[in-house]
Amino acid sequence: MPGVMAESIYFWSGLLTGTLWAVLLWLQLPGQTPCPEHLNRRTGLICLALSGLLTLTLWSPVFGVAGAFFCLGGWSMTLLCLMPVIWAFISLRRSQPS
Amino acid sequence: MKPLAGRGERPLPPRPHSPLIFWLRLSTGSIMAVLCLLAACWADRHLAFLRPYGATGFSLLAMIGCLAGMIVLTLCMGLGSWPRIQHLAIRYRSLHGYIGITTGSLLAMGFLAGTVTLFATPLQEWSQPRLPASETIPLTDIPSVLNHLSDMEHGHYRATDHQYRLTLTSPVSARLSLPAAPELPLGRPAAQILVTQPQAGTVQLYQLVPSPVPAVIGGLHRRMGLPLPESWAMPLVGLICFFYGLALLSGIILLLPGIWRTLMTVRLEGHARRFWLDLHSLLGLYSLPFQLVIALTVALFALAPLLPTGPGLRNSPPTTTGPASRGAAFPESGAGNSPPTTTGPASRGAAFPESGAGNSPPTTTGPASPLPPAVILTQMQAFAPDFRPLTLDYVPALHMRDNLATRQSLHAPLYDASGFHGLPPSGQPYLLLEGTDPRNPLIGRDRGSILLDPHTGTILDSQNLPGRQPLARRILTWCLALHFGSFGGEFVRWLYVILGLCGVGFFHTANQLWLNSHRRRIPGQPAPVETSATLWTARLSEGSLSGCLLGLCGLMVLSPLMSHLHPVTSLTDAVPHDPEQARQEASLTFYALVALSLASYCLFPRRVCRGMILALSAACLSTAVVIVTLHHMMTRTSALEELTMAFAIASLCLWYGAFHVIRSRR
Repeated sequence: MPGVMAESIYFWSGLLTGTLWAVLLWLQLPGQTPCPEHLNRRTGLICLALSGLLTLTLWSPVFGVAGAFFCLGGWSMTLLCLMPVIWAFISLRRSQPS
Repeated sequence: MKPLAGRGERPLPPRPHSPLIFWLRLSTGSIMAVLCLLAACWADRHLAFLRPYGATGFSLLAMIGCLAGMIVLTLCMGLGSWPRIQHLAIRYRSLHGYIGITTGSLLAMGFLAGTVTLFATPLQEWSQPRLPASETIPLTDIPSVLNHLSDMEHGHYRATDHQYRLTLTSPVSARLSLPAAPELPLGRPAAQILVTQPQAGTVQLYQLVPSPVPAVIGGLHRRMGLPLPESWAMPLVGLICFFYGLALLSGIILLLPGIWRTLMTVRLEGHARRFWLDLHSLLGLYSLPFQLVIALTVALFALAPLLPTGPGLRNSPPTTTGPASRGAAFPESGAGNSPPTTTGPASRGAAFPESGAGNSPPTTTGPASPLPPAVILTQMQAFAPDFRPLTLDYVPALHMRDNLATRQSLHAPLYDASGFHGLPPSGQPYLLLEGTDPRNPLIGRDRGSILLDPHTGTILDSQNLPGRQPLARRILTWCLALHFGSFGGEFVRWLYVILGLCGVGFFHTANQLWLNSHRRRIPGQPAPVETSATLWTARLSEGSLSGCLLGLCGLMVLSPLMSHLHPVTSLTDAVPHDPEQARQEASLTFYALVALSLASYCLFPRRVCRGMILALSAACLSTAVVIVTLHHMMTRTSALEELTMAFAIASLCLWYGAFHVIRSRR
């Protein structure tokens, strides 16, 4: 049972840092993204690398090293497909006069 | 082509290929792609150092051949005297568009069915009626229950002569069942006799007829919805996947230079064509690794059984002495492993003869009793601690042979990573132990396996045991696991659901983009006008995809209605069940619903059809959820609750979509 609890903590922490990684990657890419002014490129890239490494470290005990890599890839692919569409809807709502 | 018009002037825009050059390049590329595949076959046959890898080596070579073929075909279309990326894009444009519109609908159907196939095993359980409360038997009682069964059948049944299956419900208990006919993974399921123990020393039998729906959906996924036998559909599927890979590669070259600045932009307002282009490039670019893996592995599944294979797939025995099985807790295969002297009727792995034919008692000169399941599981735990066993299949010496004819008759996939040596030769009894492993990739759709001698516990084949595989087998396992999503457990399964639906969206946006580009623009008119080509292409592409959705939802209603459970007094009293007829009925229902959708799209306006098909699909899915909730309430496990919840949410989304379409003016 303690093993299951520890795995669960690793998984959810990894999911959180993996989400952060995907969001940071999204912010670095060109196009219509909510890029905050105070996040310069250098800081963004450092945070991106750190969150990626942290996710791999957290997920390795759960999925194995290769499994963690592919899970991170799959999770970021999913988020990168969905986030721009959601953001486009949010932007459209904000731009329309109420 | 003249590269520059003059000093200081911009280069002249290149022209696309003339039809003659286009077809010449396509033909040359196709021939070279075929040569790449044949080179892989030649290497498998003639290079001595590849022979020890057997079916694994052949599969990897075939996949490399497919990738090389896709790249060569792409280069043949694009290379020219002025190899600037912009010029390449123009050369690829028409090819990319035509591949998309001809294959998009089939690929969308394949992806949609594939998304449902991710839940094939839970769907089978979900469709089953409520099982009796005494279905679970402690593992220590299994030998005595089998003895009681033998006494009850007056010698007609002996555990050593017939296959029986233990489905583990906990580490110390299992469900005991006897398959009534041979089965292959992902093939047509057979009826089973469920053995229960209401009280100690008593045995009660039930006949369980499984739903054919999960296997039918699996077949639809493999054939991309084509109503053809698998052996006919596979060459077409292989060809489609080859061109799908070409379209992906050409799409990257075509799209990236133009869309880099607006990479993350989806313009919801403005011209419809721009919206579809944004969505198509977004979905295509960010799920590209997933799409490439799918294209490559499907080309392997479809083309490998057709290739002239050498020793790789046909003649080599399974790997029994790889590094995975060395130093094992179980002794190696070979010592004291003489085949048993069974001389009974050819039961082909069946628990009892089908339809009551040939009921004479078997005349076996008894081999030793198999090892008790608890002993096997303890040894397995020591051998592979991460492996979590799910089922134990005890198969007698006279069992079916795995060959192309058997796979076709049981509607199982024609490709298998073990070639035709997934099962031991006839005369060798075996114990197939299947299970999962959260830390390692699984070679099957949702499980890995190990073959043991049931009497001695020696390993017969461990090449599919997760985490204990040689490097080449592990690479192949990763390639297949990336197709099936069989790693990372439930998390990856749900990721694959989203990515699969993104794939459906990707092909749908491709079709819409093509249609928007080919509608005629008339000066002075704000909206482009439909031509007969765009009108009928739109009807057929949207009609087939909506029909596939309706067909799948219709199968969901049918699934719990096609699974039955009723008590029987003895093994020979089981009601004859024709699994082929059940499979045909389910297939017919699917294609009837697709035909209904296509007919309605041809007869009525598209907006009306959209609303109607979405509402019908939502009604089907809601009915399925209600039927299962009312009749099968007691069979709930967390996985089945999850599936019920997912179907309920999906039906709500479909209802919302239907009302949204009906209310909208456009």
